Amino acid sequence: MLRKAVLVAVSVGLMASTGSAQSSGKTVLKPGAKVFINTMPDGFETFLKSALSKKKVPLTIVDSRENADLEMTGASETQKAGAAKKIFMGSWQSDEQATISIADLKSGEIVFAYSVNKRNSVHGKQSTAEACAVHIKDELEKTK
Amino acid sequence: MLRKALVGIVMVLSAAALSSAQTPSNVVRDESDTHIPSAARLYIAPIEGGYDIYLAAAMHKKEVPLTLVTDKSKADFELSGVTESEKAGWAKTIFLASTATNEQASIKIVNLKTGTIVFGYNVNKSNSARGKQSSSEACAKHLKEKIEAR
Repeated sequence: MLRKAVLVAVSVGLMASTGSAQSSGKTVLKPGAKVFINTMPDGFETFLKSALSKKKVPLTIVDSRENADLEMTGASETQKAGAAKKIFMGSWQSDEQATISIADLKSGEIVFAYSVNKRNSVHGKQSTAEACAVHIKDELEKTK
Repeated sequence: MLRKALVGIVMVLSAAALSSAQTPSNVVRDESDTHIPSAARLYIAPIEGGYDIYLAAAMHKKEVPLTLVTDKSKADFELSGVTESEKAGWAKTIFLASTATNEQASIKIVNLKTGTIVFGYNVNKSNSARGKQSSSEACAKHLKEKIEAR
């Protein structure tokens, strides 16, 4: 009787330790999560919202940080073509760079981050925003 | 008896003075002071131009074995840095047919418990292929090497 009790206690202890080890793993980006997109320089958040919608990224965009599970922050920079580039290189297209990070609001951990740099961007900020959206979608598909 | 006591006191005082004078130069730092353990929690302080986000992205891409957090109070280490971009001027565009920027950045990581600077790195890239992304990835790569070196 005593031996059985000891065995049960040991097995329960082992299970509890395994569970705690698993729960300490990194937070991951999950499909269906509610994401709040914070304001970014040059209104890049608007481009991101459109890109997420266009690329059918399985995340729900919310307007309020309080209702969100995740928060997206980012920065973007555009370098318009100067006269020299237009005349000598025959290119009117801008150079774009952008970066985003997604943080889990509960744990405070950054679960995803991505940066993109496009020279002679065909569609300006739209191209960089869509690159971000595609990579978020890829990450979500990995965790399915 | 009194003389012996005086001599004893003087010897003790001089030994104490000597040891205190030697302390700063003789301190041998424990290697664990500059160690960044794998899976440690790192907070990246805001850097001009959103470079902190480029660094987060670079660490994600290079799979640096650290957990990035947005709250300093939950972190073991803090990364801070500066960055500077120099855009290509008209002469570079015409004569070198290059619109690539010159990038430089510098980062340091501080252990928030001990206050020790555990890592520092500078990068300078002329004609950076991917602007800030290139310099941030260089920082991430070298940080990963530092963590995995042990």
